[in-house]
Amino acid sequence: MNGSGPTCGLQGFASLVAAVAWLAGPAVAAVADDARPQDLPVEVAIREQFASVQPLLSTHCLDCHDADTHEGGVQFETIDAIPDAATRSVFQRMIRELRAGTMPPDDAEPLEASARAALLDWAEAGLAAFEARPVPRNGSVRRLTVAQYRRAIRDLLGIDEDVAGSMPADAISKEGFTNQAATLQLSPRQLEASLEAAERAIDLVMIDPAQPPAIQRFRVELGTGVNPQPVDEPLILGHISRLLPSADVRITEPPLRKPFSFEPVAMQRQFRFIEGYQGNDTVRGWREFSGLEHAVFACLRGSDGDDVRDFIDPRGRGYQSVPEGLLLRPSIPSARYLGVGSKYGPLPNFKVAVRELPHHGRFRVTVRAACCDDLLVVPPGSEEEHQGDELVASRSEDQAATDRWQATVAQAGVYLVWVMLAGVDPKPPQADGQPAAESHEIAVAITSEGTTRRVTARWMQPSFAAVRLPAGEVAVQAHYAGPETIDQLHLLRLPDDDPLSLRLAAMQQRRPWLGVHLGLRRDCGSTLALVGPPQRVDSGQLHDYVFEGAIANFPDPQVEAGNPNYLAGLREIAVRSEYTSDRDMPRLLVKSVEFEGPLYEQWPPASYAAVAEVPGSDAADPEQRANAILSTFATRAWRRPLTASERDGLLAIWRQSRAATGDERQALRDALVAVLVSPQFLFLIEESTTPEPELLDGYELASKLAFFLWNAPPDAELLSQAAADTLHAGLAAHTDRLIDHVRFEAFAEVFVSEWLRLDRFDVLESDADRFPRLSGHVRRHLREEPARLLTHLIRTNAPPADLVYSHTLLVNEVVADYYGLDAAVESGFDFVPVRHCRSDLGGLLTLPAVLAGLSDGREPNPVKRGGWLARKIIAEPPADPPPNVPKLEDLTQLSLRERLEQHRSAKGCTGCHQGIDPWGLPFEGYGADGLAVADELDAEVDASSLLPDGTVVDDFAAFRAYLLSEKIDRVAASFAWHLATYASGRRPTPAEERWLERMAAEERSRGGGLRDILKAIVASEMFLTK
Amino acid sequence: MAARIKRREVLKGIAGATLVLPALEAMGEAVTARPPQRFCAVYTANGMALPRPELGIDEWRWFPSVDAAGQLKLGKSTEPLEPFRDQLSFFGGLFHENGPKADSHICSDMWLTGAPLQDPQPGTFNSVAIDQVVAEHTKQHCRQRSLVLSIDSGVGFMSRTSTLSYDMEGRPIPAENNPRRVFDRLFRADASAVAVRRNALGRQLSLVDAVLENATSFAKQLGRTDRETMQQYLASLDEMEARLTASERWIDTPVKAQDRSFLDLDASPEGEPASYYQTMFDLIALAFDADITRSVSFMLSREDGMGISDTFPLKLGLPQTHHNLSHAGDRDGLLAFASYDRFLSEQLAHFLTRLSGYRDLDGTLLDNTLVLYGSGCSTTHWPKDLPTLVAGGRGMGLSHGHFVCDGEQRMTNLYVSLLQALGIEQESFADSTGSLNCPVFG
Repeated sequence: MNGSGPTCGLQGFASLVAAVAWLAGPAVAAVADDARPQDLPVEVAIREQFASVQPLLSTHCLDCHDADTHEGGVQFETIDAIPDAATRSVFQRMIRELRAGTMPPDDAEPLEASARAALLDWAEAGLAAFEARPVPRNGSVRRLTVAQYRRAIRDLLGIDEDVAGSMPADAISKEGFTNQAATLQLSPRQLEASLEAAERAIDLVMIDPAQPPAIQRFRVELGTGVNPQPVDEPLILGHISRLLPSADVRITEPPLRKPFSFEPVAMQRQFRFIEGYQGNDTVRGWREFSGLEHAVFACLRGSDGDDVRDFIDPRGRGYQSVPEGLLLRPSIPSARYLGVGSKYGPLPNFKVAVRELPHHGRFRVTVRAACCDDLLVVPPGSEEEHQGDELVASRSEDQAATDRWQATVAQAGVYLVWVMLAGVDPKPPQADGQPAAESHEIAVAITSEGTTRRVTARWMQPSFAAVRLPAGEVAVQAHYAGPETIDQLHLLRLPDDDPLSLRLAAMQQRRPWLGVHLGLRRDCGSTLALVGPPQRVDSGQLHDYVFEGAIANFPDPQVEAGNPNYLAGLREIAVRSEYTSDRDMPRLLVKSVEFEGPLYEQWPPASYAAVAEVPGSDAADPEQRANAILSTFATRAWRRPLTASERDGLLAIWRQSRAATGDERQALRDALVAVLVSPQFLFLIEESTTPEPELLDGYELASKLAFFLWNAPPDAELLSQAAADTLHAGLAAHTDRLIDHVRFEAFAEVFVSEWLRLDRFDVLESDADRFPRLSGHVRRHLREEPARLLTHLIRTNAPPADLVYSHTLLVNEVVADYYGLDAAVESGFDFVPVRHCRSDLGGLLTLPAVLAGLSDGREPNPVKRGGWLARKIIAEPPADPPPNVPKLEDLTQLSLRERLEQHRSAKGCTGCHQGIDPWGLPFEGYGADGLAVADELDAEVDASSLLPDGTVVDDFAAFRAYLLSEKIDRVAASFAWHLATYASGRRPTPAEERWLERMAAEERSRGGGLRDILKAIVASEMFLTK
Repeated sequence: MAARIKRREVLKGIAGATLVLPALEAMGEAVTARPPQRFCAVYTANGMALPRPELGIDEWRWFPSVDAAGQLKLGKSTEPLEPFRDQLSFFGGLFHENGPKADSHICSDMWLTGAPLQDPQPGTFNSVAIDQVVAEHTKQHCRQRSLVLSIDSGVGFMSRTSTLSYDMEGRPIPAENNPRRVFDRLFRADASAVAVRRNALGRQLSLVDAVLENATSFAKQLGRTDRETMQQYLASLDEMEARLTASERWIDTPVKAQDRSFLDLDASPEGEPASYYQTMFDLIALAFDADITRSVSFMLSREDGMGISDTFPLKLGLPQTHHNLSHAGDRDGLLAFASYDRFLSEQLAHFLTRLSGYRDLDGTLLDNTLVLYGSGCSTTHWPKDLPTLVAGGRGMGLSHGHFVCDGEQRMTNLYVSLLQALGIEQESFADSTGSLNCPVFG
């Protein structure tokens, strides 16, 4: 079996029987140890061949490519007949250049056809011989990447807090991956960071169970008049702090019930600060402050466009206190959509500012909220004739209440609230859709069947708002904030097919998404991060929505204790209706916001119990206790059972530390830390005893699978399969389980990002004037799209062709809005599959995260795009650029396409750029925002290209068709090659490369999909042996 | 393995012996012999603007000119350095012999090493960087052997490195880019109580020692499995042990009292470029003043449009990214590129001003610090005529105000001169052929 090299046994390798049989070939290893490939007849023949062509090399090549001149980084003076790993690329290049006739260059003495053929014969034979050589396998010791380390700590210890913050970033391999054995170096700094992280983690877990925890809890209730004892003195929270009126906010510390004893934290109420802000003035000198309202504030800074002069949301006031709570419109993350920006973040910007929060542990924010049965403010400029049965509301009989009207609605349906002011003509909105400056707000409340619907917005036109009303008595209350009075108020019945009725109905179908953010207050804004994903608020009834996180993972003000500034170190809990698009959305009603932390369900907490309360940990003898705890912990941490000497080694650390400190807890802590800085934890180790491939043992396989497909350590199921030695036998089923598991998304996030080079998109500085829609908010979602798409394609076993062009998109509301999709996506921030018929979308090639990332933020870059496609999608990488690239003539008057042509034909550039630019030009129809340019501009776009094989494509569609018909096996092979590299943590050997190409093509031709390719890699010798 | 054990034996064997004595002297208040000698390398990617004469904007060439009297005349892109004209010199014609042979984007990898990266041996990355040679010779005198800073943290990847520093084995040293983290690393020892620190260090030391012992026996058990990585692990543990031992010695020596209140530790690469650079330079100056380290490298930007620094020109209102600007051939493009050079000169001037502001035992910090500033290519990935400037070091016998431009010279020869000026008696570095023969080094 050995004789045919590493390609044998790849198919059906997973069969345990085959594997055992293959391992049972002891004679094989002995041969391999002594075999010298250079003694093989084929290699001897190549050496003879080389001797005959050497004169040709001297005559035609050595002038430029001797060891001294080394032009283009290539020299033939010391080259061997058969390449090694370092000179392999020289051979490949030589073959390419000889075939293409690009070497020797035009100005050198030409090479005769027979001489060229002889050189080619030798180079090809030499390369083939090298690639056929068996590659010795010595197992592997591969460090966990920082992401894997983080995940391993989290799974092992059950703590969400990120303790690996100070770990240096991992190096990136030439292939773009961070998990490659060759680049995962270990430096002393890295090890120091591991020790720091391990100590932090163990300290977080190994609490003192006898010490009851301190728990903080407070509640902020919202609603007009909710606070029976409002403070008279205005609170100060800096310039334009926009605090909710004290009467509308009630802060309490409700008692907490827990099934264990704890210390409730009473927040500080007495403060003494030396300075603060009042209005925009700094107040100097010591001042006393008293009361809970100085510890917690409800504020809306920025919500009225404080830093954006004259900005008014035409859909109505962004926030509004009503007796039931606080109504919030979707927070517009960047006001770019409206042509203005706010440094205070999304508008409206409701948040609870807090002076003290715990520093460690999990916390919970509970928001009591409901979806508002909302009115629709008639958009400015759509003042059409709304015909219908007119219903004149009659002014209230009660003369004291001049702003009250009453009416009887005979028929349930949609009604237009039509308001005319006395002596005022409607002011048409300004060109930018903003209400005229002199208009004032009008507040309307409509009560029927005991329910009151309220809205406040600028009065811009008599057609004010649409509302759905049941039949019966209706009381209307309206108040205009300007000096004028309301002259007439009508409720007009709208037909069900009136555009406004339809628009209201569409809005009422929708549900707001509640998001909670935690961060800190800065003088110039806020630094906030989402606490878990936003949640859909389905019901019109109030419900509790719970958000949890680890507090140390959120921005911390890092202010020293005792800072005397009133405004220093405030943290903020922001509560928003998350914005996804400009489509109408009912408002979110927020009744209360409650905080609890640190969060414990039990005491001692589960994370402690999992380490310290294990079988045997209650033994009378301290050493037996330590032994039980350490063995259990190290077995989990090292992802396999301990050897006796490893157990003794850990116990020795415990003994030594106990002898030195006399403190058992300290000794246990030290030994636990030692487990986490040991190589068995930090490395993925595949032990090998011979240079022959050996089958992974069950535990090695469990770890390899889990770190490949989850980027995380194996779970209990995998480890128990490893213990029972049933992993190899049931490999396909286990792979399926891992793929279908939610953790598979972690694989997709890392793999896609590194394969497709999405890091470029992360640092893109997009031209905001030209691409206002590519805001930071939208980019966060576009960045997620590729991983979601690939997860979907693999899970559904989509054919490789879907990488190039897929009829399913994976989008959320934000991405759908960016694409301008017709289909109404109602998934909030969640990505869902959507069928589409757009020719400009679908697959990996047209992802904005890719195409925009391959631009400079202003103009698309066909060279970058071409290089990307060649390397990543068809795996035909161009050669590295030579040094000393000559300067091009001043070509600024030429178009980019003409300049590229010039560049391609310039001496020294041709070789590479002929393999790059043609792959990028077909993307010319996509702008630096990653979107296809609008139809009317399309005519000016020239996306034609002469491809390296001579094919001419006229546009992107033709190019994609070409890829699907001519290059689809390259696409499948590229996917397989990148996946196999990522899976095994090393570059495939030449033989493995050939196998991957063959396997991908076979899978594709028999109708297999991406999942099949992935599973074939897992079942291959490349993955399963060490 | 042999090397490791040998070093440990040395470490353990020398307590109180000859090797340690100078270090103990240096740790005290009274360092009598001579002030500390420091080295700081500052790198900017993509070269500098060198407009061709026919464009008529010679005053924007980065390299200076020399008037008839031999006086240095700075151009507009280095004008902010005018106050330091007699404390710095420019070098033209320098290049790495291996530069033109290698991939043209690889120049930042080899800037401080000069390694033959066109022909990497299997398993090797690079060769040692000059800042680490300095560190190796100064580490026993200060708390931290070196400070490795960069606009992007970590090491990046080969040929697009985000660190300038390579250790004695040529492995990249991950850089730090967060001012607060750098500050904590440098100064936080100040805050923690000495007893607690000593206790913690002692425990860490015995812990590391025990782990080392266990891991060594584990490595033996691994047999032939990937020995190299395990060796790396053991060597790293060993180095950690050495660092802890050194830290233990430093514990009773308080960090020098300094005014650090002006630091803006919230500055970040995502924010305003000038305040980020200046904060990082402030930290370096403070670290030198407190003698926490004597070797620093700071990468201001990365090659080939990598990382966030590429977008800084846009933030400053220039029309293109840094890498794209560097490709300009026309007048307007080069003016824009040169005005970014000027911005960088302003940052360097800030650093030199800071260094001049601290009194050293003799003269100012600047007098006892060698600041190397430059790029790994001159323009458009052309790895010759590397823009290079050396500032400071009058206390080490440097004489300044020169524009050394004597045909092509090896960059590594300059490095030999720098090492020798720092009192490191080294005859060669990488592919050097000698030291630089020029008036700057006397």
